[in-house]
Amino acid sequence: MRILIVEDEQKVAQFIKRSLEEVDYSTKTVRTCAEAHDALADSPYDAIVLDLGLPDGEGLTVLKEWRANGFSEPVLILSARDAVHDRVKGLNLGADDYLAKPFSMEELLARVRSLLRRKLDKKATVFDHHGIRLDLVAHTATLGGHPVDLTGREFALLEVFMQNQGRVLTRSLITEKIWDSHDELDANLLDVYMRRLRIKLAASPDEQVFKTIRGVGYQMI
Amino acid sequence: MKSLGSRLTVWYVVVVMATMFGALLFGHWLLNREMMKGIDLLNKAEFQEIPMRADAGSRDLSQAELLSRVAQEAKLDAALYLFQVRSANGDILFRSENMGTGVLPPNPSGIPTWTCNCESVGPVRVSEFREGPLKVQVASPLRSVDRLFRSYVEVGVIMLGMVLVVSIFFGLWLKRLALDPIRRIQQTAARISADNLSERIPAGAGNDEVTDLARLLNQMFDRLEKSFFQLWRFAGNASHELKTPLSIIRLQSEKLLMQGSLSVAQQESVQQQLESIARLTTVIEKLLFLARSEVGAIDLNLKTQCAGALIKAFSEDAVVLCEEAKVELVIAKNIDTQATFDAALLRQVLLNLLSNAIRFTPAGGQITLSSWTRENRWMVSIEDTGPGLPPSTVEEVFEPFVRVGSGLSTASIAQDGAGLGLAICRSILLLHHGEIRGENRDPGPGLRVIFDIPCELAAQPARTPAWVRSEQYAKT
Repeated sequence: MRILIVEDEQKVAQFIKRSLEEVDYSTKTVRTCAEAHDALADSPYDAIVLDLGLPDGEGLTVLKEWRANGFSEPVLILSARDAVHDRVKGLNLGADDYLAKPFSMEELLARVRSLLRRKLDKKATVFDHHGIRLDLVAHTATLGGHPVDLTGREFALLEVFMQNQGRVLTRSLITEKIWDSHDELDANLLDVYMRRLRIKLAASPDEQVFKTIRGVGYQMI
Repeated sequence: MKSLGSRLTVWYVVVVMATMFGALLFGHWLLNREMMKGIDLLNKAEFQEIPMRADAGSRDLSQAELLSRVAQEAKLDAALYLFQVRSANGDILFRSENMGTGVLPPNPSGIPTWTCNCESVGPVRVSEFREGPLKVQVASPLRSVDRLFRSYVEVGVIMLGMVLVVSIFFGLWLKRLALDPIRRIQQTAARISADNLSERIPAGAGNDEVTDLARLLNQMFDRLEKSFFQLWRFAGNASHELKTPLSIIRLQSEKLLMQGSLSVAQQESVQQQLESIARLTTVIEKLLFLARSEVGAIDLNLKTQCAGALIKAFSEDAVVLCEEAKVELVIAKNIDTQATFDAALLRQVLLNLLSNAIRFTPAGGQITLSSWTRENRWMVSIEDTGPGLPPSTVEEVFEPFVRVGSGLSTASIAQDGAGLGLAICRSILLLHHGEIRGENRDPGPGLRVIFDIPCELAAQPARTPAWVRSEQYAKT
């Protein structure tokens, strides 16, 4: 899997490069729109991480061009700009996902992984983990064979965790998937739902299914 | 008298009335003078008739002869004139009978004609002539003249009354003419606030003082608007410039944490660092939103949709939040109405208001959410049973960086997002051409926040002047 990183901020680019290579992706970093053009002409890439503000132009303009020329690989936009506003604009112009700065590396990895997976395989519809069984088609959840009564939001939340077992999910990634925005973070809505979900899914009081990673997010063990 | 307008009217009326009164007085004096001149002439003519009745040539009449001729003349013109003859030492030698018991006082020396009062006749005009050693006084009663002047005064008073009415009318008209342009300036200037700095006072093509004033004020508003937008652009650019270095700090901290080689105390510090970065990011994000919304750089995702559905979807999460805070949530009414709005943004408003209400409502309290329509506006209110706000701060809380209740712990301030939550609510509603206001419940205690937006929101008119939009606002 080859990933092209278009980012003019050297340090940020190095972070992304190292992290992606740690999980066995091969990468190339470029710093300008022109370099990105050349890199794409040279060799094929499976995905692109694209910063919006580049020294020689707008990331969005470049993306628009690529899409117009039939480039169909997934693109993840990185931006320091207004999260809500540019996200809509970027997705409209053909980006597959959007990540606002300052971002978490875990989140970037999760998003890249999910972009590449979307490309590769079909989604599973039934998940099994630690005695929890989640059936997306029947819309049922059971714990050790006993049905668990979940609200719509709780079900969606569990689905996100089941799809990313063992991975750290950042708060903003989860809220974006469940509420389609980051604003819920303010109200601690995520924490409230996590507390409820933990109570409903705890097989025994000492055994915790979810681990809190302070300052980052949650992880399903 | 406070207002310039009423002072202007009063002054106008006073000046007109004074002028009119002066003119009438002058007319009276002039008329009187002419009348007296005429009477004096008639008196003189009457006197001259006396010797002419005998023989025109002879002038040396004896005193007795003269007196008898005067008596003759007096008899003939008894209806019109009074006659009196005095000797050189002032004794009255003859008095015409029509004087009754009255006596004409002697003329002051050197004044041949004067007006005096004659007993039993009234005011008379007396002319005195010398005939040898005798003084002959011919007098005309002023009864008819008095009548004339009485009617003159009557007419004068009526005219003054009419002029008073007319001048008040014209005074008011004048006031409107002079002050309406100023009132228009006043109204526009009052309307212009931080939310619509682009509005201008309509200045006509004219070149008068008021138009000059309007132009000057407009220039001032231009400068004000420009600096206002520069301020927000600065805030926008600054918060944006902060994000990239913040990314690097966050990535470094995360890497430290994930490597797992830290002691527990070190882990704790890094976690605190990450939490602070998250808080800082939230504040920057909010500041950026406010800045963009102030310069009109937010594009709303407007859709005509069911307002009731938004409230219903929101209440799903609201119930959970309230349960957690041990507060009862009551949806008092939720009218099914269509409205045009950006659902994500209005959801944020609702969530901000609810979080605020929860923060100030003690456990066991109640939060009431209502949604209804009035005069084609969709209204939503959120009431709590908390302590409410001091009346002086009810307006302020919608300003940026004003925190509700200053005695809060730092934890709740962090949740509050540095006092930007309500400011964001307000700017979202302004984008929807709506309003938000807070009031203490009566009977209290508790706070009620009400917001409303027009049900039909037309295509968004430009809130910012072209020069702001033409400049590239955000350079990443």
